Amino acid sequence: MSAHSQILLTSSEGTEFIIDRDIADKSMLLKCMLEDIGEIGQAVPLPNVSGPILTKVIEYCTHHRDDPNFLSANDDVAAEIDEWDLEYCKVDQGTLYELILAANYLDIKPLMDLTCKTVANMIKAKSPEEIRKTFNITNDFTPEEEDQVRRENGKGSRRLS
Amino acid sequence: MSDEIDLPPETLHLIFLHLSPQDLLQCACVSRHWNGVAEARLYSDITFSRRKLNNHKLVPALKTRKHLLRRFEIQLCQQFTIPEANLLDIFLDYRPDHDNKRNLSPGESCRYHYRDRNLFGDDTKTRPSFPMAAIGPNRPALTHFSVVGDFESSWLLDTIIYNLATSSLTSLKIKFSFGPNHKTYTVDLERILETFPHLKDLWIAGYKHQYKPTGEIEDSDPSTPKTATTATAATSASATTDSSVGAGKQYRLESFTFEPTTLLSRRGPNALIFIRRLGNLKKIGINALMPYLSRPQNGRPWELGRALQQYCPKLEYIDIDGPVPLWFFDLPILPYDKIRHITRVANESLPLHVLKKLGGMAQEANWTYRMLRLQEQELGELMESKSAKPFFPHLKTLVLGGKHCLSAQDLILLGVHATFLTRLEMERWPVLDGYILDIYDTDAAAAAATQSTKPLPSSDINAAVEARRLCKRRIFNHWDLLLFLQRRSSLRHFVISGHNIPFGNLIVKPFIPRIPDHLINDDDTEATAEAKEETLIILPWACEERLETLKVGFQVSASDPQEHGLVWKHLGRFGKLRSLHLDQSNLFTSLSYGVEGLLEGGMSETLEEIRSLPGWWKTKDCRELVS
Repeated sequence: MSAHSQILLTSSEGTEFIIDRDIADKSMLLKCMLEDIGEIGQAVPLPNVSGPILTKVIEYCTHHRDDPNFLSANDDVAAEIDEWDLEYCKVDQGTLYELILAANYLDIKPLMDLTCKTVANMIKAKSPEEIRKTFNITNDFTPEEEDQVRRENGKGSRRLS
Repeated sequence: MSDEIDLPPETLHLIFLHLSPQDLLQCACVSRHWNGVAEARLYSDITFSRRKLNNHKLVPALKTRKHLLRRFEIQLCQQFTIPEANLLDIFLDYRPDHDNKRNLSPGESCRYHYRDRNLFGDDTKTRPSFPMAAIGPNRPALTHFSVVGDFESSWLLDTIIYNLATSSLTSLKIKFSFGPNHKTYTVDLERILETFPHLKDLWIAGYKHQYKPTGEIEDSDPSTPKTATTATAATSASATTDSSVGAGKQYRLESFTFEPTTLLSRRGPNALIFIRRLGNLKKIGINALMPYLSRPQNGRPWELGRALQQYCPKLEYIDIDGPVPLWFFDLPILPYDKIRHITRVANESLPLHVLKKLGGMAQEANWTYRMLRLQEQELGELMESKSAKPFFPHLKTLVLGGKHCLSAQDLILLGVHATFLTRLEMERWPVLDGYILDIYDTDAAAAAATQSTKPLPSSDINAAVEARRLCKRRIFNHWDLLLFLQRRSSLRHFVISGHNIPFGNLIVKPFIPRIPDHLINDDDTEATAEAKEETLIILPWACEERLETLKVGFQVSASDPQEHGLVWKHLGRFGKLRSLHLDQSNLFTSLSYGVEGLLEGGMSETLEEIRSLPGWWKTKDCRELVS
């Protein structure tokens, strides 16, 4: 199997993408699939991923194409995010969510780690109200519930080690 | 962001992995969806200890969230104690009736969550008289539970464990420590294993505890077929086992660490009977150091070794501290004519003209020669025993702590047959042969050996041979160690502390034929010296390609740079070595030019450190030494 063979992908809207085999291999889902059934020349449908998001994912995989530590790079939770990745993640929050879901679906662990870390950084050192605002979340607690949750979680154990 | 997307819980969980507890607490207040995920992470793993005193503040919240708890750890010590009543209060909806007057309302049923038979003692007297409320629906489903400390009574410990830990428990660690009470716990192993059928990891340690004597196994399920291993392993009749008792059902336990001291000193065949149900055991840790420091003969440690050999064939990891003998192979019992042959070999001496040349050294040289021949013969015979079936065919790691008693024969056979052995760590300690042999020399094997060697005539050397045959196992020396290293290619970590291999032994193989040859053929002694230099080759070790950790001392002469150079070069051949520890070796003094030797031998890029007892170099430093 030559490394330069190409794979045809179809996004949820039906847009077709042609990518190199080694880029497709970054996704464990595609890799396993291609290994199991071989390249059949037909398009691989990805009904859970939209065109713009797939473009974004392919951009990431292409950039990290020759990265030898691709699978182990982000194992260290505390590791800093490198510059390109940082720039890559400067998207609106809806896109970020969709990227997470796509990375999860396609099983691309480094992208998953990167996007999760980005979201986590957005959460850090914020109050619940600020978090809700950032992520556009409605507060569905009743006032009593919220009071109780706050009392039990928020206050007493703030300096939890 | 026009529309609101809710991330699925598993994705949210992945995001929360990157957050600190403080941030998680904030997240828990965001929304119901976030609350569920954040709290599951916050309260699933709780440790109460002196270092994490702040966790105390979690207690009120924990009371209503105990169903989230999966791992729970308590570390009590004299500076940090939690009254058991508090613990019960947190987890069990336990309401002690302070006045002892509280009457149960008619509808309220009261369940006593203790059993008739306890796990850790039978002090029925300490049972409190108050009732406890039944455990609500949010009973914790712990998978890991760890306790270090001294409880006021074993009854309370029992109650906590019974009530906290459901049958989902897979890991239980208990360490009894010094406490104000100095009480002795009685551990009922079988009861623990029966109560928690999914238990995979059991760790019991501590200062004061003993084991409940196990009775005959009641065969609850006689239809369970015996496992194949118990059937085949019954070759050597051992005193530990009474073959009339069935094997019963097998527990799932895979890892077991304990201090079998009270079991080993108890007389009677049933002390270790539970081991026959541990057929799934993959890892065992035994700390038997304490009572045997002075007199191992008092106990019966070999029964443990025999039981493991017979019933736990899946063992991959063996960690033993103390003189518990292990049988890794059955040594072949030789036929009479073979023994005669060995005796004859051992009686051979060096040729007369060689002895003449050696002069005053003759006696000693002759003895050495005989012994070497004898050892060679013995090795040959061990190697020949291709059929030798390992008792632990999956053995990967062997760790032997102080006062272990690995025999030379087992070591050599491990070298030949232990295909999967990747880690061997041991401590070498000065020991008398007899001490070891006393432990091994038991039962039927010895009796059989006696019979087959009986007709030997007695002379000094014959007596030595006979003793060797009779006792079967002797303690290993450098020679055996090197034979092991030259054969075991799978090894990745080798550690032996307190032991130096003399340089002379590293090159021992050519020694035997060379001395006579040279003395006979060469008239020019200077030429011999030169030839010697050329022929000095350190025999390759089989594990050179794979070894990552090496700790061993080399005993080289302080004034002979050639010896140092050769050893360094030899070490350079270990292509994947990461850590080199030279122990007490004087090799370290020549590090400055030793590094050149390492480089010449092909020192790998992987090397990270070189240690010795007086010093510690990172490889960067070493390279600087060269330049």
